Amino acid sequence: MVLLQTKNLTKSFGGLTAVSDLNIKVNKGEIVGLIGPNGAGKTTVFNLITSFFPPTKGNVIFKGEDITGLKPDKIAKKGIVRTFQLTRLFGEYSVVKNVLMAQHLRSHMNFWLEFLMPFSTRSREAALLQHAEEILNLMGLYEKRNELAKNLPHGHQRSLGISIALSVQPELLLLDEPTTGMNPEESKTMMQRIQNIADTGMTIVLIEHDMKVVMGLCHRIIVLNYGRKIAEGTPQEIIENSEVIQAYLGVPDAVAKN
Amino acid sequence: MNRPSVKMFLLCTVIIMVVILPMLIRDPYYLDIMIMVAFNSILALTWRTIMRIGQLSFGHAAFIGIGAYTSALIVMKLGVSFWLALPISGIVSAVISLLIGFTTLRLKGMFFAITTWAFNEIMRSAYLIFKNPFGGATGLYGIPAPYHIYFYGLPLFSFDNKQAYCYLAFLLLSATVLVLLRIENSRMGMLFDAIRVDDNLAESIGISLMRYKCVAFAIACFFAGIAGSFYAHYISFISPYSFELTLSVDAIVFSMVGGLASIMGPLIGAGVLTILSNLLHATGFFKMIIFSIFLVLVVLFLPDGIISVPQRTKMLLARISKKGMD
Repeated sequence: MVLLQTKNLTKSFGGLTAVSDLNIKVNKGEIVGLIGPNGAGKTTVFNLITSFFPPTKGNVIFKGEDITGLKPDKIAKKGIVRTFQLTRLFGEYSVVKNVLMAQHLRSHMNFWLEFLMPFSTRSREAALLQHAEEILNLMGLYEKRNELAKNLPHGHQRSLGISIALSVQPELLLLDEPTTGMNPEESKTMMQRIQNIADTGMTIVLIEHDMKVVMGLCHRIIVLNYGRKIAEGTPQEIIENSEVIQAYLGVPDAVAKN
Repeated sequence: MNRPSVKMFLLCTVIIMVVILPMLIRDPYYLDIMIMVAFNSILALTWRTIMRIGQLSFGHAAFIGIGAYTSALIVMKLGVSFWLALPISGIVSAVISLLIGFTTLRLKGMFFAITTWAFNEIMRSAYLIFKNPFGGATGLYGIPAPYHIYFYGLPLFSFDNKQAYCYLAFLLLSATVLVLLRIENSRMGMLFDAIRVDDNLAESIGISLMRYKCVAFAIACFFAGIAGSFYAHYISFISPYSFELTLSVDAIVFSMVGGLASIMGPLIGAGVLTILSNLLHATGFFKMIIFSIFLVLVVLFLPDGIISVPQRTKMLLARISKKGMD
């Protein structure tokens, strides 16, 4: 089943075309890798899908519904949540508060009920707290739950960024370089966690530079260069694609070395 | 004592003080200070509510003014009772704030500050230019006092002395504090925090920025309008010069000096500065000088305001004792 589809998605910034005529499909339950050299337009694709800016041309279809040009918060309501290349957190709050804040969509907040009867929401709040702790457990942050988000080390901040996205309970998770700035050990842990998330039935699109992560996790890989899709296929097919090697991977040895 | 009981104790003390003090203090001068403390507290509290969604408003006086003029006009021209005019002026202020908010709340930082400042000036000029109904530069005077309240079997509660106004002022202040405190501790407060700290992240997880910014803005301006209505009937005279930029700046100074981190901050800031400026008989420019000096000192040495003093001294003591150990 096709979950997400883009049709002739194009974005121009003045004279520069960051993404041009992009057609991609993401099936339910898949992990799709989006790779390409720096400046290939990968993050722009995320920004277009989540409507952080409107496309110049083309459409984004999610579950058969055209969601082009909806506000970012509406996109999240539809079930697409993204993380950011530079970690964004609610830094001055504790780790668990970060996740609680992000549960807005599933909290079914009724302001008047809550305002007039402060105790009526106790049990619901308890359920939300439990859900938050489950997410933190999944992302290995449970021990750190009372620390301030801004004081966490980089690797944990990346995990928290994903926890925040997960707490919305999306159907499609867009991860923008989840292992950036991590050492090989941390990278491996993060890979395992992403695999765990995928095992819960989540569909994931992943931008990543670390080939080991991409090759290890993704069922399918889409390669961008100068805003165009130059190849698409299984990791094996991508490794063997000469155009990809030329544009991105460089010498064939690079893959083997990783 | 654990924290909630400390809070309850403080709350009870404040309530008892507020109930008993006006009976003991019969000097209108001190009663006037108390009333102004309550009015300034509402001013600062509502300004902080707008700051909570990350919007720096320089036009808060405009909404106080809208409440004051609305109330004065409908009471004087239409003969509506003050007790009806009070909520109406709050609603009018909130509705106008929504109209302003829809267009300006998407602006951030300095740009929002400038547009709200401009709105403040527009309102002031409008009062000056349209002599009918706003009365031009002379403003509106002889605004009637609220009607008496009769309780069966109890003494008459009449507004011919300042004690009654004092009780009313603190009643309005408690209502404001109660509502804002509930919002602060609910999911709604969390959303405001999320929007202030990182609006892009908030949007990406499904929080509608404009919706909640408008809600916060309207709530703040509702209570500002009510405070304005009270002000008009208490002073019994309002003019365009009552709601100038200086009043908006007052709101900012009270909140910044007190501290923005909790609801206590604006209360303490408004209390300390109002009492101080009255004790020094500071008005006009002299008052502005004192407020500005306070603001500079706080920004330099206590960036989190007076409410951060206990925490700061604790840290300071810890540092001193550590040095002593070495």
